[in-house]
Amino acid sequence: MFRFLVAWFGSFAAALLWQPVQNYIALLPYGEILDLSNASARDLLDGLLSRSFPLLLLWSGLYFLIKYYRLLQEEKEKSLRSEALAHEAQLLMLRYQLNPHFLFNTLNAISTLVLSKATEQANEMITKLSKFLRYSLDHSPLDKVSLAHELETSRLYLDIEKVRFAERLILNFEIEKDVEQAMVPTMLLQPIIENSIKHGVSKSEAGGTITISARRVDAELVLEVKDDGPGLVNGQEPGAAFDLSAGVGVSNIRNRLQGIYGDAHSLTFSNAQPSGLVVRVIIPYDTK
Amino acid sequence: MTQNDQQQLTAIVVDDEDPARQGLELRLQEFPQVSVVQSCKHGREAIAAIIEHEPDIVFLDI
Repeated sequence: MFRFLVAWFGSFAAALLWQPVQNYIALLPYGEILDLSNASARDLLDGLLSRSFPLLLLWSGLYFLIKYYRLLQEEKEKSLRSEALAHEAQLLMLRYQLNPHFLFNTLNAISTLVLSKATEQANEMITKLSKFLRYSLDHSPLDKVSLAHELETSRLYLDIEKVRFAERLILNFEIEKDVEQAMVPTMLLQPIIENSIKHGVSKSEAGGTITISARRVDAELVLEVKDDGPGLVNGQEPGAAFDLSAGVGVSNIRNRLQGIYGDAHSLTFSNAQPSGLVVRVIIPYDTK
Repeated sequence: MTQNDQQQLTAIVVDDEDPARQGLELRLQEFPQVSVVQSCKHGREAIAAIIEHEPDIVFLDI
């Protein structure tokens, strides 16, 4: 519609503008067309300026007004669309990170606590789950939080898992005192810990120990999650396409680290001694 | 047919996670025709229990 209006206005204005020029040309032999010193040329100029020019100006003005308005609309649309995309990505992240198995098992455990009338424990677990979900929703995938905050959330998650695994899950924190104020991407540790529980603890009858450590090495923050399970089998890395259930959270972390730090990060998997898997994240040490 | 006429079924529950195992046992209490004769934490315990009780049903976490 807009294009049609512009074309219509344009041809109308052009016709009006062209009319006196045509009249002028018809009256003169070729050699005198560009000679503005004669009277008919001056008449032509007067005619152009007095009749057609304001119309041309009006048309141009209208054209730019409509164009600007449309541009503004487009911009607004674009920003709304990117906002929606970011939101979608955030929800997707939540879906990827919160393994549906985790929710299923937790809700089942809560239901059992309710059935056996252990209301206090049931309430405690519901509160922890809701705090954990709240935290996941409150932060966008590219947000950074203090390591202290991140560890607190990891503890919420681990407390919930502790109800399921009881004495089979042993936890060990080795956090250097002053690194707790370092900033880390939100929900960085939870998927790694979940991976360690899945491979290092849940498959073993006797359970296992998970050690979470953080230390500063020069200008870098080194975070490690270590389990004492079977470790890497044949060098197979979690996050590979064939290990989808464990890999989604881990490859999601890799993408986020790349998005935040570019090449100034590393995420590695190696075998621990005497057995187990070490997942090591190295990012720049940053307190802002 | 009344409930007393129904055949009694024996069952064994196998799950390594305490809440899951207890949850299943509690839910099975709603069925008077099912009696849980033993619940086991792992496979070896389950095999021994199956040999001993020869249950009609085994609820096994896989």
